Amino acid sequence: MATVIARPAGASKPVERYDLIGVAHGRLVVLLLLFAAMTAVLAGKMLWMGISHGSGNGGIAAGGMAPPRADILDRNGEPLARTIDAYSIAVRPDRLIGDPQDLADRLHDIFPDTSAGDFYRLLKPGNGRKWAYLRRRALPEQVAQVNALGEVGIEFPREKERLYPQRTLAAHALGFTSVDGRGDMGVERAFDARLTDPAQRGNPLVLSLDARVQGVMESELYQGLTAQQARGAAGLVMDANTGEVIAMASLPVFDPNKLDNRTQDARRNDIVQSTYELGSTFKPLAIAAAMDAGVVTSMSKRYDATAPLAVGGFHIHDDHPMGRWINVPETLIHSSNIVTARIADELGSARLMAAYRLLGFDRRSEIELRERANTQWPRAWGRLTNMTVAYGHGIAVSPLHLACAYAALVNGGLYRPATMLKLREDQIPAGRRVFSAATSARMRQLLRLIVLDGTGRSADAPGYRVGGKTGSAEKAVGGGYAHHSLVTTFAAAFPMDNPRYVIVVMMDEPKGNAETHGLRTAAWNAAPVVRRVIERAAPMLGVFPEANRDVDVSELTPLLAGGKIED
Amino acid sequence: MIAIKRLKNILWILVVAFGALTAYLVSLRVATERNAVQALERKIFAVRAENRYLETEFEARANMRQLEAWNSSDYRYVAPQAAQYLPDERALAHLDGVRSNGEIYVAPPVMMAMADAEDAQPEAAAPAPAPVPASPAPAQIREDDTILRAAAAAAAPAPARPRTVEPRPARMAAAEPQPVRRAANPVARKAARMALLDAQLLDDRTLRDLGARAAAESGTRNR
Repeated sequence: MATVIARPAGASKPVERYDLIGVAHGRLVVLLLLFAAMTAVLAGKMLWMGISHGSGNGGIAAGGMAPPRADILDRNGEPLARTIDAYSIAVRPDRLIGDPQDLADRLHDIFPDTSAGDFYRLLKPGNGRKWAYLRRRALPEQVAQVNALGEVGIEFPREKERLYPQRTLAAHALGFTSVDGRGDMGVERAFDARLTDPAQRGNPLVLSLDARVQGVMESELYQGLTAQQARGAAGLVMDANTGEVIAMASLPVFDPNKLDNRTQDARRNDIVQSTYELGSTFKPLAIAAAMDAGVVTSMSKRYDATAPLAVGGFHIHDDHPMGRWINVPETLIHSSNIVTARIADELGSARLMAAYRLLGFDRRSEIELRERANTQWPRAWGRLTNMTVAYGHGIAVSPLHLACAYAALVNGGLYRPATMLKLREDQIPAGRRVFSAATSARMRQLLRLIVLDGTGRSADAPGYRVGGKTGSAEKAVGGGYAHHSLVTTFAAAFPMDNPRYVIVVMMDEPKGNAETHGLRTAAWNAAPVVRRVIERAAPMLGVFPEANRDVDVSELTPLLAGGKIED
Repeated sequence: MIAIKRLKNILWILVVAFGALTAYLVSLRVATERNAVQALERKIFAVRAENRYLETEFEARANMRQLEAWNSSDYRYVAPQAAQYLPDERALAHLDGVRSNGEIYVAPPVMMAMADAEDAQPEAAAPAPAPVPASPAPAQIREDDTILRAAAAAAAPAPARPRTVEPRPARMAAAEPQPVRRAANPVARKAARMALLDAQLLDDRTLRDLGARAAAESGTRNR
């Protein structure tokens, strides 16, 4: 009999086997869980990507349209300033293959305004610079030409650039931006916050300017300037009933796309930045104030213009002495300083000062531009000052002040601040009353009469019912007046039966020419510019000429004809 | 029973798996579409940017000063004068310079001119002029007149309005078209318009000149 001896140690064996299976199970489960978790993570990630991917990115694509600085448009949607991806040309001198001198010569052929020496300095390998601009702004053809040179060291990065497609047009009103993208002048400066505001920069800023009218104004001003060899000229067209500036030109001009130090002087915007003694153009304002105050009770009331008026050792002369007693229409038509001074004297300094204050002559203009000059308000308003100020001497304001005042004078007597923004119907300010409606109506007749029979005849654009007043003032130089340097102004409104636009043209030191018989007064230089601008621009503004329609001035004409009857 | 239960479990698993797969496929599809849309949006953005660039380039090339320079060098357009504007439709209707005779809108008869021409040159008519090739105009005008008269007759009896007529030869007076009320009927209106056209093209003076010249030519040929 065989005896089987079994080892007693078998008691732990089933436990161990059981454990092994358990461990394997456990490991499998863990592995399974890991796989499941991984799959879940992947699926979740995929689902999340599928669901949330688009919504986040669509916003970026839409927001990408917004330029870093809002466009500027004119009132008809014509772009005046835009930010575009412009080409620039840059160089890495250490990567250049060709000969720098040869390359510089060829670059000079493409860009004739930069010398080959300047290019060579930038291209020279040992100049210590790793990267330099050859050109901040280049045309696509120029980029293609430079690219054709086949130089690997030259790059063409595209950068956001502020571009003014109309170049010099309305440059003073628009201004420009500095290299770091801040507005430095004009509208760019005044509306810098609005233009760069992320919430608003997608919407272009719409100005009140009309590029076509601006173009007409600048070209006619330029022709007048060259014909008269004037030092400068400025012109303004303004909506008489809203205060919107339709055109604002100042000559000489500069190109905001190409700024350099040579244009420093040309950057002065004479419409808002300079003040002038605007002379006789003030007479209608002073006389209107006198009419409102009840000093001028009748158009036929006569004043003594027989001799120069002596006030405190100072003599007030007329340019064309009448040598007789003249009434109010004659005063304006012949632009009599003496009678205007007499009327102002009757009016008194307090009331004239109040009227001028109402017209805003004692402070900066309300326009949004930041380069507004302060006016030169007389320090002491004595009797003599009161008289000279009435005919525009001893007080200096900007042409914009004058335009606003004329708008109030003709539009029924309401003063509205000038604005560079296009206004909607509901945004037009109510305005403050400066003159009574009756005075305004009478002034419309008188201004029309000046153009029909007086000094403003050369501004009479047929059919447009222009009315306005000339002004030729000697420039104040170093405490005295320079007798041979005039500032001539013509301030007008049209059509005079229902004034819609005010236009002011100013010439700085016109010399006169053969065509004007060497005469330099406003009737010979500023007024013809006004006529040509109106003839060209008025149809664009919706004012059409009507040959058989005019302002009724029949009640005033007899007063002119009766001038021969001496008292 | 157990088999069916197991099968049921597997079926459930299959259904859930299928559902999950479908959902995933749908989301995948959506994601693809979304990506395509985004690509398109990017493309639109790029095209818009390009458009903007080209537009700006165009504006820069066609700026006001450039247009002005072109105008002064090549085109020389000037602003229209006040006389070139018309205030209203009435002025536009009067633009051709033919005045209607009150309500009646009939052109002056063109035949007048021929008669005048004959009267003005009696000596040329005397020596039996050579047969001048007859202008079709008189026949045409006569035809127009008959149409006019027919139209006038067809229309309601027009009140005999007194017309200021210059003295003219009786022969011609017979051919004077009767006054026709405006808008009497379309035929009359058309005829009137045709007559008006004639009047514009061949007014009295032109026809008189033509007649005089024809008579003079025939006279020289006879001599």
